[in-house]
Amino acid sequence: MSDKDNLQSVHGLPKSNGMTVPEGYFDDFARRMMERIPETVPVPEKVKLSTWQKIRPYVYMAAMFAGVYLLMNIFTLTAGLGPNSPDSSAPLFADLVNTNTAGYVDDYLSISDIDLYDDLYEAGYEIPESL
Amino acid sequence: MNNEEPTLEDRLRDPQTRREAFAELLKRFSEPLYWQIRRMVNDHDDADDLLQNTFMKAWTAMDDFRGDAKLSTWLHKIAINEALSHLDKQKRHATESLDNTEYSAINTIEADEWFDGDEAAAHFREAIATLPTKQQLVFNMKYFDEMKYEDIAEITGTSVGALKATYHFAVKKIEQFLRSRN
Repeated sequence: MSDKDNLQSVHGLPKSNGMTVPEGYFDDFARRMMERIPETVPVPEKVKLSTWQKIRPYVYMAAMFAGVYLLMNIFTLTAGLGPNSPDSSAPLFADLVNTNTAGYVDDYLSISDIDLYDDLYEAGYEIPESL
Repeated sequence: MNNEEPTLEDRLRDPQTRREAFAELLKRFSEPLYWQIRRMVNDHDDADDLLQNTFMKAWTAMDDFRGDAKLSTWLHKIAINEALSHLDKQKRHATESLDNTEYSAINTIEADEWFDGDEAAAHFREAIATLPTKQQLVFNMKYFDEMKYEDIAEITGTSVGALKATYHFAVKKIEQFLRSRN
């Protein structure tokens, strides 16, 4: 007898758990959702880029790194620290790394075998060899 | 000449046919995803909100759907993530207000106006609510949706062995709970 058959025959459990929804809920839900999404989907147009537009991001990035390098040197000089001081640059880089992490949307499911086994071990469950 | 009809996935990827295909997607997946969420959060209104969030996220992320995974697997992942995040928030709130999360889940079940089961069904829901959240998820997918372990593994990203052990334990715990009620 399977686990499910056992639950149903010994404890008289129904296939359903008695949950219901308002009448016509799913039709109404589909209508409400369609009202929320835009009528048209913008089709991205291909724009021909000039040479300057193509290299502009790289130029800006180089300028940014040059600026950061200069700022670091100015701070270390004004603070009277040597250029190889281990603590002088770390906070600046940490700030730079942290600026772009907000707003990241992750739809990856946060479940692992470890989570499942943790729950079992916490309850003192021993896994049968037949599994 | 290729006369094959474009699949739902193809039509969803094409901006010209996306909206129409999305209506079909809603028709096909609203019900299974609703029950997936509802069994986890118990409350109909919460399930309704989370289902809307699920489809809105799917709509906005449609360009990122490459078709490597099955559409149903992708949607189930989004729905389960929404439900787990909601339950985490509830748990944090319960911890802050010193409530017992299991107790508050049972309160939600007792107050559920969209329930027409008998006493056995009510006890069954309470028994499921005593399980840790991820065990509830595995139990529901196996027991109610009758999904294969391999399909659950694909959605949850866990191994078949861990799922079998989890389901086996969940059943034992539910049996214990029901025995104590009879």
